[in-house]
Amino acid sequence: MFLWSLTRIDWGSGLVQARGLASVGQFAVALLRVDLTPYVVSSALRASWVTVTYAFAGLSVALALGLPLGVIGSGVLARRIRSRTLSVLLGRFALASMRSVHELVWAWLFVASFGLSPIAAVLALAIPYGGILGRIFSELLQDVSGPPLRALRASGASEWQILLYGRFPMALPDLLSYTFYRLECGIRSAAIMSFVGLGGLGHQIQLALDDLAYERVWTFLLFLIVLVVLVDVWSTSVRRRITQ
Amino acid sequence: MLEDLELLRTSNAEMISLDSTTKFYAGFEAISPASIRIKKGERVVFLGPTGSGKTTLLLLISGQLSPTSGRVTLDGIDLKSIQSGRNLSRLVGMIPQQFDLVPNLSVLHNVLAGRLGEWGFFRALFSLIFPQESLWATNALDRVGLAGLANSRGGNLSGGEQQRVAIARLLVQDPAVILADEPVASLDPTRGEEILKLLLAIAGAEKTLIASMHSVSLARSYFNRVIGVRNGSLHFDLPTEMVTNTMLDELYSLEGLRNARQGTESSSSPNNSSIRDVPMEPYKN
Repeated sequence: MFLWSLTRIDWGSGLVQARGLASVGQFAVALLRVDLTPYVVSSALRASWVTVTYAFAGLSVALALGLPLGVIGSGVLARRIRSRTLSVLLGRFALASMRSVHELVWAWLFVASFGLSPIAAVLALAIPYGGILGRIFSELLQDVSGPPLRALRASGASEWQILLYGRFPMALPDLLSYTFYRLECGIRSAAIMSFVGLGGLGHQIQLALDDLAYERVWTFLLFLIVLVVLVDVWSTSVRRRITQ
Repeated sequence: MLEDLELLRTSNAEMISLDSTTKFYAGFEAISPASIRIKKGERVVFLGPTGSGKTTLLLLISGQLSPTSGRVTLDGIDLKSIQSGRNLSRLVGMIPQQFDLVPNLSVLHNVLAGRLGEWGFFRALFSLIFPQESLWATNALDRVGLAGLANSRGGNLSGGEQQRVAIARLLVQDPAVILADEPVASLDPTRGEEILKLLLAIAGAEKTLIASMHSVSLARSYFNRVIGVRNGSLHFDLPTEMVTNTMLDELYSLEGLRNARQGTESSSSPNNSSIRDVPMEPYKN
């Protein structure tokens, strides 16, 4: 199907704009002259900080939403089939609705309601990401290995206690690693959302593009790359500590 | 073992009874109608070839499987009527053949999990941060010879250590009936004897102990009643000293033995790691 879709593209001469190629060239070359003057670097630092705080705040709220809904959507707290189906249906439906609207659309909605305030950015990130985290969490909690859970049940544990002593501990490395991955995505999303005017790296990139100052664009892009790499390193070290 | 026979005569309480209990898996008769009566304090061993239904019987007694027909009763209570896992866990506990510790939790928490039947949710949650009633756990770990391993990660232990942790957890749970599925299957004879002595010590005079075993000689040394299981039905049910080598020959003979792999029993049971078709040691001596 993928191959078929490739044939549908018009690979003719209209694919690349005449001046476009030249612009790309200019952009690429600007990397060599990346702007590292103090003023630009300090505004990059400030913008990075804004982006990072949006991402962290957004992911925190996303966790607060996604974790309970994920547990409900996994149905692991229900012992009888009927209540489990109900739990899964409700949870999955709620999570899917949250996910279906892209964060930019949520951002646009919230900016319209709350104006250009940080709340708009945080909620716009938290809702779809909560839906994504919740969906994955529900599957991770279900797919945990069986014998330890059976042993807990045989020791008299309730389904809630089995969640606490069996499912969470065993799923934790994967829960964490997926959350960190989403944090990375969150940083990118927060950067993009700042195009909506909410401050942060995206906003700065937009300003620099408007000025055609490609060297400045690269400064901010490099900061973005460094942020993502830092989160990746942090995620690896936390995961190692949990699973040693 | 003669002292145990003395106890049998004095304690009349019937602890476990199976009445015409069967178990079918999708048309496959894993257990033919079986009726067994076990008194409190007895030491019973199920012997028989792989796939004969020993594990299934244990799972039926522990309440983890429900019979297709017939009844399983513990201490006068029909297992089907027990709704709360809590009440069941006070009656019976099992040490399965497969390792079942939570690998990401410390040994301490794994052992304290034996108390989950008594704790509410919030106490259980609190205990993960501040271990509650840890004296139970440290005493139990002492008794099984693992003092000092309390803070090790469950998954980092060797197989033998994990088994002992499971026994410690059972000690903390303190059920009236102790079941053990192939407790010595992966151990050398010396360790095997140690584990059996430990199980016997834990069961003491008050608790009932039932195990399934491959090793005929160990079974004869440590248990006072032998139930032979073959092809899902009870071949014989006798005090140990009345079991003859001829009976054991018949029990383990390859002729007429249903193939364990064809039946769904061993693939449905959680403990399908043993692939031995003949007893480990020769019992003809």
